[in-house]
Amino acid sequence: MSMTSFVLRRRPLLASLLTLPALSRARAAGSEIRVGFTQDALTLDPANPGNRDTETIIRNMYDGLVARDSAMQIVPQIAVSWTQTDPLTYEFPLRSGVRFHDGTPLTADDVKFTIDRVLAGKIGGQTNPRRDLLGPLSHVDVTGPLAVRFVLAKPWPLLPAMLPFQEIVSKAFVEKAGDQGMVSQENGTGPFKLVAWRHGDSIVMERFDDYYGGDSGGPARVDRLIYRIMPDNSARVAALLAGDVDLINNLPVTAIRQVQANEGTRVAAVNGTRTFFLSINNAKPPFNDVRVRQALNHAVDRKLIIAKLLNGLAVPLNGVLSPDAFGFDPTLPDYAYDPGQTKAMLADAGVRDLQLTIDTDGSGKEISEAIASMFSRAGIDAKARVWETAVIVPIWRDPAKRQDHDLFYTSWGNASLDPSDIMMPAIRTGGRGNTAGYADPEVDKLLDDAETEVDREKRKALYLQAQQIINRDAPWVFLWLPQDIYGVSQRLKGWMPSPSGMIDLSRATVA
Amino acid sequence: MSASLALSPGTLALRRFRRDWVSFGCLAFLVIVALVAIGAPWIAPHDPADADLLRRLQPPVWTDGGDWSYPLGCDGLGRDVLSRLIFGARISLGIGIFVVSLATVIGASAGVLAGFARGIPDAILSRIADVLLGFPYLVFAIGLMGMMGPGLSNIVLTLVLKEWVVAFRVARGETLAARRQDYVEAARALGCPRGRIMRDEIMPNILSPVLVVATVRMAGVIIMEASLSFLGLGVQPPAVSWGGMVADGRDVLADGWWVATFPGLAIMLVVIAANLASQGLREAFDPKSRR
Amino acid sequence: MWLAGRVSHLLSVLFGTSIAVFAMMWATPGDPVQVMLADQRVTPEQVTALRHEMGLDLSLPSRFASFLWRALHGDFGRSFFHHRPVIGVIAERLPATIELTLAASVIALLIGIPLGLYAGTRPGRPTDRIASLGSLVGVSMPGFWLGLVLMLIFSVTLHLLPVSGRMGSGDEPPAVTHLLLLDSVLAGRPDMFATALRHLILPSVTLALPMAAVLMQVTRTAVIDVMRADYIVFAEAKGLARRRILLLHVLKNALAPAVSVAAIEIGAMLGGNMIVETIFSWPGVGRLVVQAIFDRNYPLVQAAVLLYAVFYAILNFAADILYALLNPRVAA
Repeated sequence: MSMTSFVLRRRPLLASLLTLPALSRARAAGSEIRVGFTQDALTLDPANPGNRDTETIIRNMYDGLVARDSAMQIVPQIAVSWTQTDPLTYEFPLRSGVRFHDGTPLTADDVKFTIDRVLAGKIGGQTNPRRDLLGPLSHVDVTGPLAVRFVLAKPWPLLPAMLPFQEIVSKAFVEKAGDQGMVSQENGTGPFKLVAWRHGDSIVMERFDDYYGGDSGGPARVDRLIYRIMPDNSARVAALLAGDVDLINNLPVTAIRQVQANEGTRVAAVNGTRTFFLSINNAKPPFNDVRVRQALNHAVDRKLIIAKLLNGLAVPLNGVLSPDAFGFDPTLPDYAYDPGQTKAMLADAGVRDLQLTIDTDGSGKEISEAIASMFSRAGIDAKARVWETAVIVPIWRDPAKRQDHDLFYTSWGNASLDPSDIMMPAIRTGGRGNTAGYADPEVDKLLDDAETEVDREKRKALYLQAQQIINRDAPWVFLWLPQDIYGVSQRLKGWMPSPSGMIDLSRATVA
Repeated sequence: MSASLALSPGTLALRRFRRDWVSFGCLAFLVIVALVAIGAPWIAPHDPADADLLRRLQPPVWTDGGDWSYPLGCDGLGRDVLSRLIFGARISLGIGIFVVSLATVIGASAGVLAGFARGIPDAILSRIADVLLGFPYLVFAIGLMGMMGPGLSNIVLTLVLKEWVVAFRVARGETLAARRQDYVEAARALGCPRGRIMRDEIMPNILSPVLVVATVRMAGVIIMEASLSFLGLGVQPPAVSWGGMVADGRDVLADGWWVATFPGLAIMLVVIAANLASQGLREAFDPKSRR
Repeated sequence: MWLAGRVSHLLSVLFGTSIAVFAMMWATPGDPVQVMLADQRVTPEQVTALRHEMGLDLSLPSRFASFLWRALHGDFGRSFFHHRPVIGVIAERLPATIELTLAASVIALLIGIPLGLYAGTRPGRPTDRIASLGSLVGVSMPGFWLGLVLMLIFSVTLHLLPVSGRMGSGDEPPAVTHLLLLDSVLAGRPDMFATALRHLILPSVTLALPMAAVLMQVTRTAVIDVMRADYIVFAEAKGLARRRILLLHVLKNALAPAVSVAAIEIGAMLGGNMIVETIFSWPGVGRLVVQAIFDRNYPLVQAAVLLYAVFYAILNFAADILYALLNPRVAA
């Protein structure tokens, strides 16, 4: 289209983009980006996406008050900024000129409505597990047509880190469509709007021309964005290699060499946010002896597994946290690979002829078998046992059911990269994800104190202390933090992977 | 009834079968595979579970980088493909034979009972068979495996539960046809007990079609087990099955084609042999059926 | 009267099936709530509340009774994971499975029956041997194998056909039958037809080959049987043209068992195309159902299994009718 008509049609947008950079952007007519994605969205309702893949898709169409960029920094989107006026209060002035896809302008009422909806705890008559993402948030006040105030019931330093998970909906739209309608219709403020949702096949979106710019400075660069659903790994890789898609997520490690060797494609990787570990049944003898647990830690050659089975794309860990997380302790003592040490420590603890089974689900089969064979080298009779996720997870989460089980190859995500988000469920006594049954009162106190500690440095110190204790107690066999690996076409520019797993294509173009 | 000067049908069949060298050869092949499977601990060069990441995806001996100690190469965890192939025969072939035998015995007995007794036992058994038949195979298998957990005995149970229906139907159909025959009528008129009639008159005559169907089904069972293993519902490590090997090898197809190719080939060869042997068996029992 | 008998038979089978699947789901360990929640932050009270909303805290007989009652009214409940009625979720994916199954059936019939006719009229000759060998390989090759090989050759290496999906990123024709090939014809859009066809080829060929092999065998056998029958010799003696004999008698009589076997194979195909749907990312019901089992998405599994049972019964019914129609000498 000619420059003149382009400008004329964008007059309203221009008015609100006065402070933004120039309009010269590459925008080919009829350009589209195709993403080969692992799962279909379960729903289009941002209040209860159900899993991260769904949220990734929704995030293309819905913006939040804030978001995370590819460096995991919190950047403003609908909110202009935020200030904490006292330990319990945050003020959020909102941007003007933000519109929903149906053309209606966004006001503070919509923000309040969005948060109230989540705080209510039920969506469509069903309990909403996302309510807890707002922690001790008490209520939201509208302080002006474009300003809101968040009021907490008790101090919660986590609030800014947790806000990127909340996407803003239109009050009028939800009231009209109802919770049922929100499942399959969308009306967000994001850079793309829904054209068609072919369940199980693809989600077709097109550029929202009146996008206020978010954190990318303007509407999207391409006309259409299509997510094609391809759960099968080989099909997804083949599609990328054949040029049927421009970007795929979850590139399997075994396909990395192929994608790199192929001229038109490359690999993009970023530190993930999911910690992998072997949960040890701390209550079952002989694993109740810390020496045995430490011995197990020395029996796994983490670097070799990472090199051979993960193509080097993982960070070995000696603790719980990702190196990118707030309060990460880089000085944790390393559990070096030393099967001789393992044998010695086991003998020291009086353990002879140790036999154990590593429980895992289908996806962890290869690695569990590799670890089992490493245990065998250290004189432990080990084998892996594959279960269905739906069966093994409830077993390990119930102390009574997991009595006879030994080790569990599993993981826990930490999308906010804040230690509270992973340590409270997975380490603290009684935590929902504390499959090891680890219970240390000192660690519990440190974690509880950190929950309400507003001073950043003091909070960090608490977590540093906790990590040292956890490393020493070895409730888990610490493993690694894998990178999220994407396959990208060389034609795609202007996109970088983010540890949050979100795929932000608002600045991307295809050659 | 006996007291005949002619040779028994079984001996005649055996003679014809031996002359059909294709089918005979296939049967011989299957027997050899079975023997290799039985002798696995002595024949296989390595421990199938011996993993060494440094040997990961080592190619077969005729390719650059391979060596004779691992003639068919190594899989993703550095385990010897040849040894895993040999041990895998135990599971794949073993399941095929065992499931079919058990399913045939159960199904044929039920079928003869239903066909002979008619009435309520027939109605009940047939209804159960219909329900099982209408259940999609994979959904049934996955559901049942989910219920009982993975493992060898559970796979066998699942497959038997689906397979007995085939033998049941054949046996029932043949029984229904047979009971109208003169010699059965005669036996009943003479007052022979029903059990004796079923055992002495009907069973020997339905034996051949049931046997033929059984050998055909063996191929199907082997593929079914491979499919289940492919989906991750097969035997547990360290046990090996060919289907599981194909599944493991699928992810590394680009870097290690041998991991999935050899077990896939093995499945195909065994299944082809089973099909040809069963064809030969059918023609041996009934030369008129030779086509 | 006979129809009434079939219907009552169908109903009793459906009842038995629903008991079976219900029992299976109940006896299966595994917790859909835990699967659903994964590692989200939830309190124990929320877990209990969710369980109550999903009806999982009721006793087994009352769950079954309420399931039956609602099923009779056409309400199969809401999918645990999709937050939508199960019927809707299945209905969305059903046309894809139907289109795939239909395409595969057509291919299998078009390959299997003519090949079988050809081979059957020249038994023992080289063409027959080759066809028989091909058919043998066709039934012996695992489906997951064949699909992968075809994809490697035609998509990745030759770039002739797309790797996966049903329509790619192209637009869909307006939905009339929800079968993309038909709809694109109805809408007069040859470009959409071409796209849909290109996506359909590999998965339907993979699915069709084993069935084609079976059909070929059955047809061939039937042809040989029929040709041996006396009346064919008699007809030849009368001097009828060889072609007409074939067409009139052999075809009709050989078709009977072939078509009835085809109907049953189609029924089996419906229940077993999950692997092909997975390999080619075909958005059908097969994949949906198996994932539902892994997720313990009970309402979806129950509804889908009943659906399969109905299809299977209908196809069996069709098989019997076709057999009787095509072969009136053999009373049903």
